[in-house]
Amino acid sequence: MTSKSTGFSVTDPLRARLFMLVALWVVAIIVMALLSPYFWRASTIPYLLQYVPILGLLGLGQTLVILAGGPGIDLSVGSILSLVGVAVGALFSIGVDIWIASAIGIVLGAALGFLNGFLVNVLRIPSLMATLATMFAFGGFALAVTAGRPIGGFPASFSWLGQGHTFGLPNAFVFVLLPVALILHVMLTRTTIGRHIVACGNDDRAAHLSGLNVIRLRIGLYALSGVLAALGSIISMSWFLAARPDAGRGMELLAVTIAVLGGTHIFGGTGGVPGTIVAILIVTTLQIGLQLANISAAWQLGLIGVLLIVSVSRLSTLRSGQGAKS
Amino acid sequence: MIAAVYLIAWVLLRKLPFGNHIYAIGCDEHSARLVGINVDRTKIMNYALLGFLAGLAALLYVARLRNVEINIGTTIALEAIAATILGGTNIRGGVGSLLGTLLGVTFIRIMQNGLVLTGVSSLWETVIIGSLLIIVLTADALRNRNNPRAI
Repeated sequence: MTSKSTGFSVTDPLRARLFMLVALWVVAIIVMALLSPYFWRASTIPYLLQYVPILGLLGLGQTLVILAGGPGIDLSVGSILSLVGVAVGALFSIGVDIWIASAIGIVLGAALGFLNGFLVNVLRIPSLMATLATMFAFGGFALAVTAGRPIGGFPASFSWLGQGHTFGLPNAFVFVLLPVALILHVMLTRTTIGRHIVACGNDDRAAHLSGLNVIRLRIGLYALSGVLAALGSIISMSWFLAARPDAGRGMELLAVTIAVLGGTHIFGGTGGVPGTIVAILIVTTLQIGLQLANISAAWQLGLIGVLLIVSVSRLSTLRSGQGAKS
Repeated sequence: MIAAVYLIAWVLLRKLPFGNHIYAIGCDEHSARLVGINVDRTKIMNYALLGFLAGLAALLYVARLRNVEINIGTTIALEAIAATILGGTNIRGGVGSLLGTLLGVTFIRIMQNGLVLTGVSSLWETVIIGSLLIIVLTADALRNRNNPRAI
């Protein structure tokens, strides 16, 4: 009998994973509802969706970087978020208009991401090492320059993005995360560039021989990851009306977990936006649920770590199972 | 005590076949597998040793400083990696020495001491070590540009 998927058909394993993820999300919701009586309320959903955009943007950026292979990973996204926040705060405090400062912040995010891409793809430093080093360099710089103190004093009009609501849903979710996710999904599944990205992730030598500029593509994706982190930083600042130098601390772990849980294979080539979105919802549900159940943040971190290990290991057997099946 | 640990590690690396296995896997994992080295077991043993040494380090840390913070692990991990790479261990594996690592650690500690003495805020330490790591990795990459096997 001919199996319906010979080789790496991108849709089938991803669709199966999508079903599994949605099921996992339902399980998570049930468990969290059991853990805390505050969870199962109508007000929880907008509260949940408030957390989703920032992590969502980081997770999407991470998905693309990991997807392009290499193997690629961007551990510095949290630090980029912090540093862009500090930069925008600094610009604002010397009188630049907040929205112009935000635009400059996005450019800075692209530049930092480009640096990452350069280190990994041109100098061929392993991505884990390079982004680990930049994570400490950027994050440390943000902390050192502000001496650990947040920059405040943003105008109230700036909070529209992070605190406002439209039709009951947070503005950041509706106007930033949804469009970005849609654009990235369309790019990945319908355009030529999307196919190129998946090709680089599957076999970069074959991609290179086919004429794709693998290096330029990967650098571009690192820069994009930086831009998305900068966007996340702006949302974060709009939400808290302050630029905290440790705003992004720990988020890189969550971003990678989200990407891998969402079905992105750690060596690239398999993965997609829908899986990542459901993974974001799962992780946020778990975090909020644990928070409402008064379980300390240390346990949350532990749970995320376990989730990461489980998703990475399970995905490998899925891929090798694919080869054995056909 | 540290001397004893390093001595044992040196014996392990240089004299025992286990050490040769480690270098071989680092140089070319596929060939090492073909030659008959049990790559998975060696790697697992490596991680186990690493965990053991980390535990030993934790003991020394607590004995020295009398109290423990939850977060010291992250910074020290970076310093350890930086010290190892500074000491000449190739990031792609296969090349490295314990003496180099020892020198790397000494260098980092002296540099940190110097920072404190000149009055630079300790917040800058992470930045400097991170930047140093980037510079060293870049230098390695540029130096081995023509060598396809190395970084």
